[in-house]
Amino acid sequence: MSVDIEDILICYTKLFSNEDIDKDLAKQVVKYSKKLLKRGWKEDQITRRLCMYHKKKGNDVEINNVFGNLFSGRTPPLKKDDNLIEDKRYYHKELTNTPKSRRNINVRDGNIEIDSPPFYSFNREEYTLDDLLKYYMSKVDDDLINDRVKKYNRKVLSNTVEVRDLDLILFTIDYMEKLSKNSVMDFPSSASKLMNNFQEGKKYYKNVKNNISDKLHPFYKAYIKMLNRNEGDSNE
Amino acid sequence: MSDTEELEDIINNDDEFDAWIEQALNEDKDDVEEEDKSDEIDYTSEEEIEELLVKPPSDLDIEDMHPLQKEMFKNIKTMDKSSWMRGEGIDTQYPKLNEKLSGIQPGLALLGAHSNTGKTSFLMSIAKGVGEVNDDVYGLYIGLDDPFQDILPRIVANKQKIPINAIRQPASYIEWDNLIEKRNEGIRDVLYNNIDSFKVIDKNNIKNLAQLKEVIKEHYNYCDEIGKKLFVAIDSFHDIEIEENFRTSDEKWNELPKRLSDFADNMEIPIWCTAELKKTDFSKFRPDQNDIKFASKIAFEAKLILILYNEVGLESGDASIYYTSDQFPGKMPVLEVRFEKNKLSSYKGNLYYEFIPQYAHFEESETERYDSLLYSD
Repeated sequence: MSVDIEDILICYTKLFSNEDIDKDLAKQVVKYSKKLLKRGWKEDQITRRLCMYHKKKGNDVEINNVFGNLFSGRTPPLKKDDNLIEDKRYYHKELTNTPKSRRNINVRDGNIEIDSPPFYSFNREEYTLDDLLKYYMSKVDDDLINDRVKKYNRKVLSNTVEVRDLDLILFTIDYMEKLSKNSVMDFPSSASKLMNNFQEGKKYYKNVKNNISDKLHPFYKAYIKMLNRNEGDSNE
Repeated sequence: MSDTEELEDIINNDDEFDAWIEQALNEDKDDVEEEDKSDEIDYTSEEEIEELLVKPPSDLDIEDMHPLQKEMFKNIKTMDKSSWMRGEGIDTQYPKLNEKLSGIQPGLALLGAHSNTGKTSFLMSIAKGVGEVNDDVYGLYIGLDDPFQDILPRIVANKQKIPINAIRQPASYIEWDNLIEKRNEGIRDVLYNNIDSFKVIDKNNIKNLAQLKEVIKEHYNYCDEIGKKLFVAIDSFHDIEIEENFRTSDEKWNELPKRLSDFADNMEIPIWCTAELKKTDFSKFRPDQNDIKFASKIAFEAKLILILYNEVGLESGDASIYYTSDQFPGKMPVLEVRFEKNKLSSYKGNLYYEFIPQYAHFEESETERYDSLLYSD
């Protein structure tokens, strides 16, 4: 069975049908899902948008309005010309999204109290050359930044993304930053110095990949858990 | 038939659709816990173990066997029996750690970490915990780095969840009646009342490996008398001296792990040691077993190597693995426990413990959450 369509149908049912969907509506959801997936939308992009729509409009909505408002005339992120993101798992923090709120732990009267907010992790939908340049320049000493350096680095990074993996470029930038923090070298204002560090950057990237989980956690599941929690709180 | 056609078929069929909806909408509900049958068998009972042993084939007549065959016959039986007697391994008090280790098993284990990570507190917590959660285990904590006056308050703090200083220096907390009450209750319940299941020895009693082995043997014999298994924790491996002189430090570090590992194997006891790490290569995101000081022989001899990492302790504000607390400002540390070498079970991966340094307390946490937060913003 198509896991993607099944997830969209579950998400829609839980958000907009009070967990009681009739067959005709289910068929309509499947029809929309098929269309969107064919056009290049990804399941997690669709379900996330359904959650945002629910947050804004509540659950008393009409299916054609939901899908129409969210997707009609819009280009799927992966089809946008200036988007560097491809359909694959990324590991760098610039390219992934996780919640800002963390588990909160307190000790009261000798007892541990844990508040564990629902968790999600997903790849960023869009990342452009300007984002990459901004990330690189954020590591460069302020005194060395000027328009000429920015223009030059933009060109270097533009050439680099043609031949190198985006994750690898970002991890190599971080590796160079690590060296500069440990006083091994100054962080170079010129992005052309990236070339000299790809080999070590690759080792660093691989090392992170070996430690980090491959699994992503759908946003819509966390959103539904959050709704259930809030519902539980208001019932208390 | 395509996946989508299959889904459409389900929607068109009343019964299938109802069943699908029910299953799909409930997929995240907690799984029903499986019945735990482990308590039903007493692995220390000779009689019960005898029942579990594999019966030799009926056509195998021990009387007719050649002595060389008899030797093998005996070895098979001993292996079968000793493996059952191992039971489920010693309960660490941390369910996920138990599961990944299959309980604590005999042999040498190392917990390698940089300083300021929480490795001493973690080992201390396990040493105290094993005596508490297992009726038949005695935890012996040997602190070669700190005096017992510093070690015991941390153990009480860990259990009572009160600040270490309230135990170490109660005069400063004299106005806090409930803290003093908890402190006194802890010294009574956690220490005095557990005198038959947990002990701390410090560096003043042990000068070298020979003395260390003597002390362990003495406690091993005592455990034998009272019908308990011994668990030994040593902080730290790199503080152990050997009585004889070696020409180079390499010779010492080749010899020490072998002697300690052989000792643990011969006595069939678990010996867990903290170990120091050298400065890690910049290209590594996390240290590994090769970063243990004088690693080559140590890594070879140990049956289990856990590498501990505390991003908040080492990288402070830049850390991505942390939790928050309303009681303490800033990012709170999470101890990453990575299984680097594991000859005791098949698990390789990380476990995570939320660490409250003020109380030397650890909460075993969600693996998937922190696995995904590694290298997050």
